[in-house]
Amino acid sequence: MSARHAGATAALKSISIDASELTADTTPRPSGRHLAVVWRNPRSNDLVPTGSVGLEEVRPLGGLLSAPAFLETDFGMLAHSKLSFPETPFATGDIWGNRQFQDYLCTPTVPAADLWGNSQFQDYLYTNMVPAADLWGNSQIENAWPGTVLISTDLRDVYQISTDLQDTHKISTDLKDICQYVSYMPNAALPVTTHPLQSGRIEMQAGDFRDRSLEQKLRVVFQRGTEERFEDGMESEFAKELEGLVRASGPNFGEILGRIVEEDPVSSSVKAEAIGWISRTNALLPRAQRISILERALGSGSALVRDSAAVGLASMDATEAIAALARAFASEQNTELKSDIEELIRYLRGL
Amino acid sequence: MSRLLIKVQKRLWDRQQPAFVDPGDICADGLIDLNVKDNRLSVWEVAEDNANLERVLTALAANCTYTSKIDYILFDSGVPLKLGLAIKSTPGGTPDSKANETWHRDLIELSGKKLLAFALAAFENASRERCQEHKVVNMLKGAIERNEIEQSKLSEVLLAKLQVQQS
Repeated sequence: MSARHAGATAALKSISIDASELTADTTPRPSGRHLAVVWRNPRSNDLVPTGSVGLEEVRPLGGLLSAPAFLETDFGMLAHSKLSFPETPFATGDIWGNRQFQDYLCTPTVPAADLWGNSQFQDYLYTNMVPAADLWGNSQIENAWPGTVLISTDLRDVYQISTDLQDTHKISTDLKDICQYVSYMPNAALPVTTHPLQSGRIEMQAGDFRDRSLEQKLRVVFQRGTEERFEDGMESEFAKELEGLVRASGPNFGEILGRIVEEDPVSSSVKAEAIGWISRTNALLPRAQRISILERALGSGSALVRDSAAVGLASMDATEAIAALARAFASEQNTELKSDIEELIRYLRGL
Repeated sequence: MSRLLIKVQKRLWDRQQPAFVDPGDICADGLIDLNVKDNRLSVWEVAEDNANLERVLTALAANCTYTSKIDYILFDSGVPLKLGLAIKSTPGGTPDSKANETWHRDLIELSGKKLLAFALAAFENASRERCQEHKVVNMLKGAIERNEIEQSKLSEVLLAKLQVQQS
């Protein structure tokens, strides 16, 4: 660890996060397109100024800001306030201009290559210039970022990131976790306003918002999947997107994903691809949940989806699904698919 | 007579077509399996006695990023000739160099009309087949043991899956 980092760690030990630090202003602006986020320093009770044209500068907040902040401005500029240590001046920087980040927020596409291992990010934390595209999902944020971050955009999403702090950068036992993001609808109360952050609590009282956000993002991925041609055995961009989103989304996606897969308006070929992907994602979803989703898909109105579900169950060696497959076989009207299901049942029975 | 093989999604080539498809026609989704590039369509020649079928399927599987079933259609090699389509021997792009050199063909100089005519003829004449994933896995393992495919050309995911299953 560099001396700078060591110093930062020492300084951070005095930092706590409490409910008074964050507030947000969701008052519609003339442009009608943005959210202003205000970061409050509890010690000085100063606010990070946001004007009608957004954040142009940040005054020193009594010399200390107890956590890093990302602030979006009306210019589309994202300013990052670095952790303010007594020995280093507080500063902000214009780090916007990365079109990718905007895309990430519009669309939950997070290329896996961007997710992990970007060592630059840790440096960014201490240099206060953080290309936002590098922020998302970077594992090092979990190690190096001891506070709470809000990212606000004009794209209707607010991302809150807090950290786990389980390694050498651990500086607090109050803060528990991870990356999470919270989405809100323009007219809804912002979770951080109605339910200010509490020390040691990770699950904000905003689960509905978060789930809604995830569902929206999943639907965008499914919609984009309709533009793609799928081929057996070939990893699709759709599957990569799905995995990237799911990895960043926590455990709630299984139920939502299953629901989307069952819905009629979703393209059959995309559903079939999603089901194939689910059958392969043994590290992301519990086996029982994956089998449940696939079994339900056996009742789809699309032969393509039913086929994918049957193949997926066989691929999982899901002998516990033989009964469901037998029912699907009995009710199958497509004689060619019926024959294929029969072969899969025989395989699972070891015949 | 030998036959030609094209990898497809079997469900899109089911004889049981949606109600809106007239007899003698095919649903448009099936056309996406005819992955034409540079007005060429990749096909594989399979001997009448299927002697090289497993090797061709293994070559196709080795070209994938993960193990999966392989759906394919097999049709008489005279089908494209009857339609006046030209066939040319060209090297395939799989990790099996022998298969690439020996059995890969291209239907060349395809126009839209020719492609549709070919799709209709193939639909009428083809048998729809499936090689299930567990068979594909065994075929790949055997091919690796026999050094028929170049491991260096296999995807990491595919190789990892095979290695896991071997252990």
